[in-house]
Amino acid sequence: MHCEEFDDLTATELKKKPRKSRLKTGAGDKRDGLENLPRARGLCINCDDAEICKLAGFGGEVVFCEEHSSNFDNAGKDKAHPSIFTNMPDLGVKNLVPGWDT
Amino acid sequence: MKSLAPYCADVLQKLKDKYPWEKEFHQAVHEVFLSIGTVVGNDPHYRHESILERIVEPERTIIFRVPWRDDAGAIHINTGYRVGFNSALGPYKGGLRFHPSANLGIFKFLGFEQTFKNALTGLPLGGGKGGSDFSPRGRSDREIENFCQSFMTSLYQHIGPNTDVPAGDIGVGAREVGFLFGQYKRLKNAWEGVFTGKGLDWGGSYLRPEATGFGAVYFAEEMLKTKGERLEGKTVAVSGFGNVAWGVVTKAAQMGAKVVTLSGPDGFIHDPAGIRGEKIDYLLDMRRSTRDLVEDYAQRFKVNFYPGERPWRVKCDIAFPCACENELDENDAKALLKNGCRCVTECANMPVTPEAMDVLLESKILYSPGKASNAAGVACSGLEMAQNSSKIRWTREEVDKRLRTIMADIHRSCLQAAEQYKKNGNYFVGANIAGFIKVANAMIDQGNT
Repeated sequence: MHCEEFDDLTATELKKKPRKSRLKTGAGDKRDGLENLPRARGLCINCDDAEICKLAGFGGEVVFCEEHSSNFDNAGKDKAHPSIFTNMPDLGVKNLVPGWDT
Repeated sequence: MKSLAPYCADVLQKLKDKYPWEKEFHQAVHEVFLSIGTVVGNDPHYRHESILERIVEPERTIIFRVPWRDDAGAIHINTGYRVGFNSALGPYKGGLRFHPSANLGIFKFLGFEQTFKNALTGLPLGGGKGGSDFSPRGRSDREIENFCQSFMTSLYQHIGPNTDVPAGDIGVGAREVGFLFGQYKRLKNAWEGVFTGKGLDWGGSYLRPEATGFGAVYFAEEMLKTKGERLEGKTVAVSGFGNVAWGVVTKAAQMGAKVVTLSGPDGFIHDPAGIRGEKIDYLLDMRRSTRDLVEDYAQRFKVNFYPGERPWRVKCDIAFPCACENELDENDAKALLKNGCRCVTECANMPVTPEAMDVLLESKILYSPGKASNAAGVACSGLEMAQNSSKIRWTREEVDKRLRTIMADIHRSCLQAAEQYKKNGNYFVGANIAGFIKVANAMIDQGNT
């Protein structure tokens, strides 16, 4: 991180020599260790459906899930999270597709 | 593992050396590089311009402290992020995610993917993503408001309708967008279209909730047309019952298809008579109930429920995976083919595993990647931006018409790019190439930026 003796020329010469990247190995080792520690992993960890979900990859490092449930309880108790559905009460086939006979 | 073109492999290796901990981001770059090897190999201009080195590095990354006070008076500290990945085609555009698993590597991965998806829409949209490691779960409305206001107090100076236009994502719904937009407006002293996904009464667009699903169905219809077929009369399998699945079911039924499956976290239902009319409205009731059990549908309409299973073994002509990543694996793909499925349209992001993707591509059936077929969500956001800029609101029919045109354009772009590089009918390669060329050429036109 700090080197009072740093000079560009030496650094350029070093770049020309093929050598194993110490940074990569070191960081990789640390990372592997961290993965064994309890920490946030993927979208499932705070999903309301965590106890019932049987979707593929559940509990892994899920990044995409259209079914992630955000109906989080909050201090309002009776007030569900205003999701896209609860916020638009007029949604429904008849309103959505005018003229379409359901 | 498939090999990369030398230039692509070189750039990816340098990226891994520089950011060894960003595994998701490496995977996203690897996937795009697999498709564009021929493009950069055939045109030395790209290498001369160091386009790959530039395209994998975000233009800017903003990281900031988000202090906020809970209802008990205690101060909490979260980290806020906004990655402006690429603005060659327009202002950075991409959602905000509030989730404890969020980190810079995830946002770079999502921003990179977003850049090419947005490019495919043909709208002036760059790519970006951001959010925080904050979890809204268990927090009161007041705590959420405190957090959103603190988050925006740091972010507002970096965003704007011509700079960076965020939207919602996981953990950022209508409530959060409202709080964030309100704080931005207050700090900027300006009402401007800096967010998409806004409430319908204050600048939002018609069709935003259902756009992704509707667009995927339009894309499937375009694919079927290339084989002289139509959606009408086809049997459709759908997974999920969130807003994407709901949009697909609604539009597919409207266009005369018979949707026979839905799935939830608990399993799937098979409704051979077809899901339409009041059954579609019942999906909304199911969501509003917050029980999130698709078994409720089976009990209400007396159809079969299959606990813990996925719907891909049901006989169908078209499959729309709408739930989550990796939900359709190699065995599922083989089962679909065995049962005569002729079209798989990804509606979720990356719902098909790499092994299943190989099976589908090998089979030569119609198969579209999510970055093309689910792009209507962001396309509708682009239309929301256009409406905000011109201070008008289009009717539902007008937005729908424009969305359909955009999806037809995306389809044509994918098909033409695939044909140009001798991968006829391969929408996966076509989408990656078409998105890449648009972004790369714009970057070259704009000089060394």
